[in-house]
Amino acid sequence: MVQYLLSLGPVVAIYVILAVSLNIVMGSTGVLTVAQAGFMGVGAYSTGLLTTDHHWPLIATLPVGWVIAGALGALLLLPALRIQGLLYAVVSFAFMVFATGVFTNANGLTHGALGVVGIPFFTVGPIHLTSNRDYCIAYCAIALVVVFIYYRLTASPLGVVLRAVRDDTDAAASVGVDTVRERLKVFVLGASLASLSGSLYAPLIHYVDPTTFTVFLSFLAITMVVFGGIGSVFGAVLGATLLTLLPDAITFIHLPSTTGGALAQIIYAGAVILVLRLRPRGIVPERNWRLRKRLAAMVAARQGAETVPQLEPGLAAGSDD
Amino acid sequence: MSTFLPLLVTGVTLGSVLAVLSLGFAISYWPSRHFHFAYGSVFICATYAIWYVAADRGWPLAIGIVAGGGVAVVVGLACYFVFYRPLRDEQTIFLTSFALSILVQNVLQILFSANPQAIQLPHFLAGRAFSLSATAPVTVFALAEIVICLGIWALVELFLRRSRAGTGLRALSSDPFLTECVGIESRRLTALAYVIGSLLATVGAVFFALDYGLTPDAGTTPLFYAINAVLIGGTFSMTGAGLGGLLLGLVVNLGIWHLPSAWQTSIAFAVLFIILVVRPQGLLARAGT
Repeated sequence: MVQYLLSLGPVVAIYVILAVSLNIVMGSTGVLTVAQAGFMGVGAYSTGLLTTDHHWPLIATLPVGWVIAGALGALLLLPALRIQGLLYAVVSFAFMVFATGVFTNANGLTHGALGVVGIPFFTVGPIHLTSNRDYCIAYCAIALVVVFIYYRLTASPLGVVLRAVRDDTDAAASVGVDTVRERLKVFVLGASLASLSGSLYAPLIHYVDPTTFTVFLSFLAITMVVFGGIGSVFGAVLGATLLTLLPDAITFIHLPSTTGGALAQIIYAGAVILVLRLRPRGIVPERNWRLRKRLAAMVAARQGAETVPQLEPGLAAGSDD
Repeated sequence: MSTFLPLLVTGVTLGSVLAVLSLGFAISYWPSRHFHFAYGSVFICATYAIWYVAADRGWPLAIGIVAGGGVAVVVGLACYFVFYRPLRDEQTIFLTSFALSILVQNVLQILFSANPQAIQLPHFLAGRAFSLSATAPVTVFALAEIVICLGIWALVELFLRRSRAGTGLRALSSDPFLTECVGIESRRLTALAYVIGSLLATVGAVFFALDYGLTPDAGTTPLFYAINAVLIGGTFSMTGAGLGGLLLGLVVNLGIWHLPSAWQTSIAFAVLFIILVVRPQGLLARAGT
């Protein structure tokens, strides 16, 4: 039982990173994307192929995934800039179909449907992970660092700018924000982080194949984020943890594996529909007390300075419609 | 040229079916702005209904098609009334619809297993109608596919341009607010659009099932093509959607002239990507939309 829980730990950590990567894109730009599984696949394939076929050290394969995924993320920004909101989801869906096609069909590059087998254990310098416990500790530590950075990011000046771009792109541009550059950062960061989750996946499972990185994995990531609350830091963590443990809870009741898998999907989908209907902003909705406090302090300071009297209430009234 | 003509034949055949499928997606999407991702579920439910009645029960294909249409309309209207209408913003509707499509696919998998199934093509359709060349025969079935689909497209165009309801739907597409202002009720019109869309999905389902067989996830690829075609075709334009479907069917088939056929979906993505970057409003959109 303890071994079983320890084996779930690294999986939860990987999903937390994936959910955070999606939340960076969705929560900071308001763009709905189903492309994250493709970027995760890029990371998993980069690490898998380079460590097996070319005997690279694992640490050197991470930047490869980041660069490729980041470049693809930047490329996907091109259509995102030119079309309205939701249609981007469609473009990212098309990208996912394309990515699955490449993973499955580019035999020379990805070994096609056979996948990459025999990926070695996670080794970085003197750290050599072999047991479930090692993986659990290392991966959870990495996930914690990612979550902490993301938490700091949402409260940082960059986070504030991104939120402004998300809530009103034109207004943000009118006060001098380079909205294209800010969104470029988000797309590249989100894609690279998804790639990191893939790079961690490869040495854990030791096997990478194209059936893993499909639009359904993206949907699972979206489910986690929607469950917890889009844009909410702890929502992403909670959603990823709950939804990773759920299918394993289902396998405890002994069903034939095909029915069990389908049943888990049905429960996921049903849960999403319910959450969207009952709590559309998620279980832990986005909020930012630190930010709110700082804004309040700024307003108070301005009003005290009396050179800019009553600017804030006017703005608040104007943005109300 | 030995492979070009057969590819042209399959391209026109697939294009005609995709034109109808894309039209079925666009007819509810542009007026309601509900991103009906579960259109793929409507399609696959119709497919399984046809298979169940015509192949599994062994009744005539015609009865199967009627059953398929009935199931499609029920699923389509359920999506609209039960799931989309109570929700407010586009993104929630999209996610709900996405979840629905996964729900339906897995329910079908539990009910009918994930094994591929097929529907036997009736004998009178299997023969050769005529040949473009020695290597490019056109079967009666392919010919029927092209004629029926293009005919249905023409009927839908006629409906959209000549009838009151069709005009109302086009008005809703370009300005829902003004349309309500002049006293056109959007709820019934949109429901009608869902009914028509579901029936068009059934037409596509018949041909896809007879051509390629069926699995619980067989709704994804037609849906992918239909959405692509709607975006390629142009904002608010239902004619554009049909045209986009026809074009896409042709391009993905002619595109594999020198490529393995597995790359078809990638070609479709490339076409969409280029069009969105060069002309984001799509091919047939009017200026200013």
